[in-house]
Amino acid sequence: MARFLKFLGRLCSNIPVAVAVFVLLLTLIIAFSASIVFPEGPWMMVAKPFIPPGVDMNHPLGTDMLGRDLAAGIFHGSRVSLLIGTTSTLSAVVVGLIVGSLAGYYGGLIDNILSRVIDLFQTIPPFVFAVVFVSIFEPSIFVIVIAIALISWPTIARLSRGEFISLRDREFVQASVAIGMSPLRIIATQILPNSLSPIIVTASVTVAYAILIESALAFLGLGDPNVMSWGSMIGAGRDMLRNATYMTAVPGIAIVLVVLSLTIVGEGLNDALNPRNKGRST
Amino acid sequence: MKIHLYVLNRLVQAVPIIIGIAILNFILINLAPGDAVEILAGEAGAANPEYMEDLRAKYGLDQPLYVQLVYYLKNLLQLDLGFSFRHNTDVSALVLERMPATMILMGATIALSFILGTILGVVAAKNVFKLKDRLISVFILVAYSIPLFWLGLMLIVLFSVKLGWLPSSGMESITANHEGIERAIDITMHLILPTVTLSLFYVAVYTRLMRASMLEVYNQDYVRAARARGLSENVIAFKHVLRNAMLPMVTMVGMQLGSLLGGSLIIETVFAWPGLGRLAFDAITQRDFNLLMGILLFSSIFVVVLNILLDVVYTFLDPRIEIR
Repeated sequence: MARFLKFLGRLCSNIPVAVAVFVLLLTLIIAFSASIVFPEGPWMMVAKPFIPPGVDMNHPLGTDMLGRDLAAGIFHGSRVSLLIGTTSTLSAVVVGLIVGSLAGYYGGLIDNILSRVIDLFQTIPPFVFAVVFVSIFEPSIFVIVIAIALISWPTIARLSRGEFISLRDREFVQASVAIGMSPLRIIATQILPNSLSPIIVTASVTVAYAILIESALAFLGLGDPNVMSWGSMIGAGRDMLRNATYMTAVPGIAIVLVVLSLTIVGEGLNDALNPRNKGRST
Repeated sequence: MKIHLYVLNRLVQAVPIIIGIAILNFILINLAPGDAVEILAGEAGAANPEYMEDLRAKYGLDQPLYVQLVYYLKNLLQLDLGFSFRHNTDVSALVLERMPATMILMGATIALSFILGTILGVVAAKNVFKLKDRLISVFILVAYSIPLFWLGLMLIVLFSVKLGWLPSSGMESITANHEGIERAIDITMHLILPTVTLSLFYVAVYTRLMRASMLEVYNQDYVRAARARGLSENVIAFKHVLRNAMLPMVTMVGMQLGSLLGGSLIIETVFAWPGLGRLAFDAITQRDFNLLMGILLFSSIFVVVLNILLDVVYTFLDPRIEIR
């Protein structure tokens, strides 16, 4: 814990990163407090329609064409974005790590087969695949998470494969082999911890990517119809684009803020975890 | 090796990937709840079981899965992507009809983002860690974080609704009946907003790559030698560094093709651009799975083929790479 706090301190010594961490913490608070602050949920018509932001202090972000509070939508929508962003990334990291570590550690035929699978998934246009996948299986949070995980695991797999290849012939691994450690134990307890830092950095960017993909799917009408998400708010506000731009602008700004913060934190993590590469990330 | 042999060789290597994609497609179709017959029968209202069995037999859906897979692959070999029951035409005809519009949008986006990315990347690398570089870094971060479809909507509000400078949707003014050069200008005007929107992300990608690549090349011995010979910084930057730093950019174009195609799908729905993406969007709303799967398969093959072409271009740009 003390080490973690120390690390957090080092991470936040950079002011933009500190601001980004703050925005993310705020988003977490918003997500967890959504049902307390807006217990009636995002669908309830609470006021006159078409109130622009900043006019009625009871509804600071305004209301939409049905008189639903945009702030309630932002609060409840943050849950969807964060939930889908984190769970899909987590699944992608698990699958990517398993495939990547097996391919990298064993090499040879296993590597050949797994690399072909990775190639295959990297050839298919990712967003088109997600669109087809979600529309075939009916949109629900679960299906969307699987779709996003399916298009993001190859990046993690390729990355961890590279890490494993560069580490598998090091002396500490040879020593582990010599004392009779099983391959799985070497992978999990020796190589994995040493290859984690680039994977953590990539994972933070993957969360940002997942949030963008989810919003794009919801915008196309492929969001879970039972929850309100920022993307579906943009899709709904689009019809009023000419007369009430704020309905589209507000949820979009929320997405930009969260994704931007995640990207900045990713950069900060990169600098903090690999000080030698400072400012050279690509 | 002769260039056409090389291309042939690469095409042969691409076959397993294309078969893999086709099999993946086939698995997806069969995992989908219900089959085409159920959807058709649902359309027609009440359908009796005998009629549905007949339909299944007609489309080969009563055969075991591996037989169906063989049929599926055989049809693909004949460039038969299936039949769209909604449009009442072959999927391949629909896809080919919409392809040109998407290619115009993708081509314009690649050109714009390649050029802007190169310029910004050079500026950033020449002023590394100074103000200009910092500002460009901020631009990259923001560009990475904006949902493109939302940016498109905001640009429509600004340039079409408020300023009235540019058309907000479609590919040309249908009522105007332009001919020749006037038509080209009209299409260009319609192309500007979607291209700028779609380019933003890729400008950021290319800028970042160009900057890193320039900095890498600046460390090479021959650049030091050029400095020692007393060449001016500008000559070094443009004659010695830039030309070599361009190579990874070409690789990146190939790597980004799939993502670009997906980006164009969503941008086309924002700007009502009559390409593949628009077709896909209609297929989603009409639940036309055959068409959707056809678009997925076709766009994957498109990416594979374009990558082979890019590899050929690459060997022209970098003579050190031998065609093998």
